[in-house]
Amino acid sequence: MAEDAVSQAELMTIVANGQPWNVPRECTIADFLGQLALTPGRVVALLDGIIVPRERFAETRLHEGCRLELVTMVGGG
Amino acid sequence: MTEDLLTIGTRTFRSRLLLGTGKYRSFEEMQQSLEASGTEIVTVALRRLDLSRPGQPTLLDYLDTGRYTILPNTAGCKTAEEAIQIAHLAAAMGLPRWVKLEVIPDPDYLLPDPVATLEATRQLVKEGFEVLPYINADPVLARRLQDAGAVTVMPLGSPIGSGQGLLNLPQIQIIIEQARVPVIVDAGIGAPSDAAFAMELGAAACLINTAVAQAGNPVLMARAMKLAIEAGRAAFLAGRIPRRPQAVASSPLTGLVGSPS
Repeated sequence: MAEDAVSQAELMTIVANGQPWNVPRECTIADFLGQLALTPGRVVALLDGIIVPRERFAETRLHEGCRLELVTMVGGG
Repeated sequence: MTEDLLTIGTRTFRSRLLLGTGKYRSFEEMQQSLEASGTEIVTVALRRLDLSRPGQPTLLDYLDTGRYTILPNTAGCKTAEEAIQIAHLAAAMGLPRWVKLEVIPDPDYLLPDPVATLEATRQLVKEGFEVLPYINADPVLARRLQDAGAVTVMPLGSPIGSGQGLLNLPQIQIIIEQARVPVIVDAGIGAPSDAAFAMELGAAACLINTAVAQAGNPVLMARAMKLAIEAGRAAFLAGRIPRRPQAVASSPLTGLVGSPS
């Protein structure tokens, strides 16, 4: 884990859409999307079960072990 | 004659065909089908963003949200709580504060849970959502949902995607007869004749997805559905003749050539 390696000391592990990801500490939702080069048109987040609208992505920080769900629109009936 | 408009809650539309956006073979085909159908309301689902494929085209690249009113559904939700959360997410996404409410615990027939649907409707109405509940064709449930503030009821013709047509016909007729809100037949429509029939019976609109998206030519089928909905609606407004057990001649029975009198 991050504590064992100096190079990873600045990283933390989060769970985003069910998968573990190593991201920089102090990372915001907007940073995370930027890191993945994702610029979705309509997206909303659930951070530990709390809804975060897109306007607050830049100010909402992730934390070690948090569960992030990023949700968008897909085709449906 | 005044324009025949469809009013759902606070919104008014000219088209009586609601179209789903799922199961098309390509986004282009979906886009052209929406266009050909004349629809003004399209349904979408909410799902996890695919984090592994940045730059991939998404539904949004092909859906003109300025032109169509987006109706988010709660497909995939098995409980009232899950459905309520999806409605909240859709609203937080900036979508209109209305929802096609689906609470479906049964994976084989995709039949909705009436108790959970009523619970979720009550809660969402309290929160100011306009709720369009998807239900089995149960007239008593339809009334309870209207009492709870649902802006439509959406009985299924037959199971989702089955294309079996209006298997629940007698029940749907009772729902229409008793409804104080628009009745939208949702699910099971397989062909334009099914849609036209629903409209002739007095359904206010139809919601169709698979029958268009999976047709041999979805764009042409979208147009066929548009025409069927329009024809069925016109027939309903016109008033069909009663069914009679015996024939009634269309030509005069008097003045027959060669008759003795």
